[in-house]
Amino acid sequence: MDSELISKKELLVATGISYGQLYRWKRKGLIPEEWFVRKSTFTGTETFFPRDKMLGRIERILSMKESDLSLDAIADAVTPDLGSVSLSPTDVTERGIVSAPSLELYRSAHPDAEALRYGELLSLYVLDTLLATGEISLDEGRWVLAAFEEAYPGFAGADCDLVLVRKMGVAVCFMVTSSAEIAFESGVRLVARVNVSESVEALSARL
Amino acid sequence: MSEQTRPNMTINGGGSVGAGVYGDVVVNGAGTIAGDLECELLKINGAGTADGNVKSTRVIVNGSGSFTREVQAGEFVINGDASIAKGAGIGRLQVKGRGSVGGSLAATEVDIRGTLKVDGDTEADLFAGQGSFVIGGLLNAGTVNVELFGASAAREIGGEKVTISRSRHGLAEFIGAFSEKRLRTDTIEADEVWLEDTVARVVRGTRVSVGAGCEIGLVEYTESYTPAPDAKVTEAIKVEAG
Repeated sequence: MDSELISKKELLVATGISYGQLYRWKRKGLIPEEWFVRKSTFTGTETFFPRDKMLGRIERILSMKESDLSLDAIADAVTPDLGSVSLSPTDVTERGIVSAPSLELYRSAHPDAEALRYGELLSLYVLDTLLATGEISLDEGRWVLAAFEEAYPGFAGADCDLVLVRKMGVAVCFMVTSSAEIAFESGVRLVARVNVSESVEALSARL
Repeated sequence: MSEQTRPNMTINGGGSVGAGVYGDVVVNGAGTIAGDLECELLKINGAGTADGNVKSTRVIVNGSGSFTREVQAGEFVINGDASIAKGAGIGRLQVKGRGSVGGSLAATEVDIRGTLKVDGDTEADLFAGQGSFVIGGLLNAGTVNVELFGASAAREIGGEKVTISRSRHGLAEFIGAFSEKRLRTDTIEADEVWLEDTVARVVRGTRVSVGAGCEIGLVEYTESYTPAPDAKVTEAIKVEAG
């Protein structure tokens, strides 16, 4: 069994909460929909959760309940309002959201960026993901960032991927919907395909 | 917004209303709302189609209503038939007749006196009534309390208290003699589970009671388990509570 996941049954035993509480918290938005992972097991389809995140979240909810907070108040506390996020460039590196070189690159493209809002942080995070693979140079990072910033709004929140391919040393970057299958001529190498929804989730978890 | 900029609109016979912000919108006969609508009251007496998102304090459908996009309403009453194509967020939903939602439904209270079909997940604090329901995804409700009048299904049911009972109503029993009117689901998980006429792969709960007409593969309970003599349960095990 995947050690990074915890089954619903194990979770209830480990935390002492009931099914009723778990479902109520889900309804009230205390536990994100994406954490409910449905997987086939030999007895049928069961629900699993990302172990560390889920145990951390339950512990937090329980301790907040002890201090008599309402479920709505807890929901506000545990799910950050992404629209109101605004971080200074130093916050971004201090909180370990992205690496310093990525931020530097971002700032060279946007010299007047003082406070980074969610959309900008997402661009930066996607850039950081790509740079961290070691597959692209800083120079390429610069125009990958530009490509993402230009193309991403066009998907209007739909599930999409940022794709980078290379042939004979020349890199090409583009965006496609996540369900799209892409075929290349031989000699083209797929360098990276980053799912934006996953990045949104990963970024939200770090904020 | 002031009263002047929220005009009332009535269609008598046939016609269409443009997108916009209104007070009361009443369709008597056949009418179309062309585009997004925001209003205090949308009342359809006859047949109405809303070709856009609808945001209204109250929606009343007497006859048939077709909503091609999303609906946000404080109260939604169906006397007849209504279909919502792209999901709904409703305070109190009352279905007298037939309601269907493509996408998911989030409500505070759902009262069924007929049949409700939801393609995706359904969330409600209270999901109760007499009738039938088909939920494509998870039915997540604080309290589920349904008297079955017809074949029902949900992929999963979860909540605090789940009660599914066989109708004792004369007519329903009469209809029931000719048709299957059980609930079929994969999983039920709740603190209190009380079932009749339910077919499930697994039922998990603190206190589980399995009554007449049930076929359950596995019951897992932490406190108590009460089976009826004619309930078919393959296996029931007591598991440790947390």
